[in-house]
Amino acid sequence: MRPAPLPASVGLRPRPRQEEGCVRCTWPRRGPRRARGRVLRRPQARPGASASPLTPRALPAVLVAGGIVAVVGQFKGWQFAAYSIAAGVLICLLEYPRGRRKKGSTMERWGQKYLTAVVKVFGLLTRNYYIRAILHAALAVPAGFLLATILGTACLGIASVIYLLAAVRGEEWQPIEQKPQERSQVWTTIKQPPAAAEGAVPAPAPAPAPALAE
Amino acid sequence: MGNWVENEGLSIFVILVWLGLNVFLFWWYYVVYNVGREYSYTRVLLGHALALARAPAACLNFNCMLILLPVCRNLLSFLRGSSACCSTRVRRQLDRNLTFHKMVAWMIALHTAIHTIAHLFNVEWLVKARLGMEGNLSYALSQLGDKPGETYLNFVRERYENPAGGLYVAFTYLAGLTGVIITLCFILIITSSTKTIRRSYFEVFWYTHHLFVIFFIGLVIHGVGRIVRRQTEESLEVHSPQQCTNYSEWGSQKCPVPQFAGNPPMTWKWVVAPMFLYLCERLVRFWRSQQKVVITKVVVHPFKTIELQMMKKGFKMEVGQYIFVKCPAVSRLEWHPFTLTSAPEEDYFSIHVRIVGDWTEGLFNACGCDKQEFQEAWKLPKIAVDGPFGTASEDVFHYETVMLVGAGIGVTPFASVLKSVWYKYCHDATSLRLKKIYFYWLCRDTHAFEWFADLLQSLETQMQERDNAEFLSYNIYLTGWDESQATHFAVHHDEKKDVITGLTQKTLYGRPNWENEFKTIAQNHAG
Repeated sequence: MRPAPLPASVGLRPRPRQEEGCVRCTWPRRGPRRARGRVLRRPQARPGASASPLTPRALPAVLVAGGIVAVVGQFKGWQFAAYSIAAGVLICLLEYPRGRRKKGSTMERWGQKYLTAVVKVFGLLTRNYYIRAILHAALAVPAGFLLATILGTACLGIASVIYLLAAVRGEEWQPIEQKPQERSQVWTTIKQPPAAAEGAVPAPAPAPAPALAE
Repeated sequence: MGNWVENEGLSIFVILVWLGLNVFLFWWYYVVYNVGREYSYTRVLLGHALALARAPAACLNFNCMLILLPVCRNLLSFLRGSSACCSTRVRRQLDRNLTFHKMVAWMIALHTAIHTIAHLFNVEWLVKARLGMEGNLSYALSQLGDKPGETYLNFVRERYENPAGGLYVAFTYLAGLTGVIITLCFILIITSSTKTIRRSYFEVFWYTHHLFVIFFIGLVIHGVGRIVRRQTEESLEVHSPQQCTNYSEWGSQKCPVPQFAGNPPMTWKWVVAPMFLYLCERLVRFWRSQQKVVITKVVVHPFKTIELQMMKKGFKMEVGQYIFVKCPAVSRLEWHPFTLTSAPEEDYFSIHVRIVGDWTEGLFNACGCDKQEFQEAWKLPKIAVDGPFGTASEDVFHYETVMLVGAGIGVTPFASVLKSVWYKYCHDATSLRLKKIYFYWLCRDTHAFEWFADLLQSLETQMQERDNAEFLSYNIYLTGWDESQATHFAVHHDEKKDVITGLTQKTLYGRPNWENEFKTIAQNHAG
């Protein structure tokens, strides 16, 4: 014989919160958890979200690797490879600081803030994704003359297309700015009991002990 | 240390065996190509770069064979079911399939890099040798094949200078063209599989990953051109590379012109079986997705969680397993995993879905959860279910005292476990070996798991009614408390029911002191 199913309270209908004078209803609604002044929330996928993370840092690294091989091997035309190394490193540095999403929060990469400061200086040249797309395409072309760096050309070409699509959707690179630390003082009050401030109303004297009941 | 060996020992063993096989294959083929007589003349042209290209190629064959197997989840379920004789520890290795898949992928990346770099040197030197100067052995070897009756050693037959020569080889020879294409596919697959992209742009990851089809097709035809040349056995019998060192005398009776042949493609022998298994896997998934799944009930829980109760003919589950769900109304190609929260004893199976992304939001809307009024049953969307997968937690029924620890979202399988325990208890408490459950639940806040708190409350009531309140001892630890909460529960500390959960056992704050917990439980349950 099948045992009786679990009672209806186990999630079989929406549960109204009516317990004990509705304590849970009055519970303060918590916002996103803050830790060390940064808002941490898992980024959510939604259309129109930033395309910047879609240009992986590994793509320019392919260019650099191919360039190193050709330079070390002293292949014919190694000068193109030397150029590829320089171009690849430049793109890596440009792409390292992650851009800020329009909605929601963005996790910074380690040590990103130093490069953010540099990238910010160039203003429109680094902010605008059309310009980034053209830059990637232009830097890719000379690397196409050497077999060792041809994959790098293809990778930069793909990155260029990604930026172009992002630019068409109206995205641009915005630096992630550190928010000022707002709540750093709150925690200290837990450890220390509230001290009576000057001019504050003194605590009432303890009530006399109630008379014993008969 | 002992615990670590107990828990991780088998996984480490598997990884060491896999690494060992990689090292063996690399070393073996390196020796074959670096020492073998039949490659003596090839080594004149290419040096160590020949062996350094062929050794990783062998490892690539091995790893490309392995990479498809961990993602055949239905095959793994079959293996799991048929190895019921083996201990759970052995079967649990099958749950680490995705970790193994990623490790094999990184190994493929490493070997691809070595293979590609070595071949870049090979192409450069072969093109250069073809244009070389007279009086050079490399040049003499490269000319072989120009005259009728000769077979070539240097597969580059055209005379173009580098770097154009290299580009010409890469894009006109099948090996070069397929090599460039599949390497590019592989780079795109790997770069779109990072955690950020998987979490935030799952569709990009999923669709880009399907470039593996092009990867495998290119891989199989990569060696068809037979450009890796060796001296034939018949030629070796009459022409010894060690003795016929003066190439100007070749063609005489003592040293006839050496003859060469290309190595046949080997990769297809390694990958054809896994490709077939994967094809079967996709067919099984497709067939399963066509099976009728009926949503019998949709429940909206607080804080953006919905529960879908479903029925499917022939569906069998164990406690703690998960299923993949597809909702064609939301997306025709995406499958998403959810832990089963119902017990096997129930006549339906259920999942609890938290709305945190566009697929789950789409599901929310498709089920009519955004509307206030009741929805007609025929309006509910069609659902496809694959599974169940995962090593079951049936071990819980083999012991008298169990300790269950769930953190955050990991508490979801325990809904299934606890419900199943309750059903077994109600059915026949005496036959249940389980006598005491210690349940630890750690989470930042209970908001997303209100439905689970409801379950605990119901179980608590049931236990009390049966005079066995001691059967289930649960401890909830909230690790994300702040000052305002601290004040609130300090004020309500003495109340009978906990202010957060409404349960009799009070919620604790911060992380548990595991030393104390283990000590206390060990003392209470000696033996």
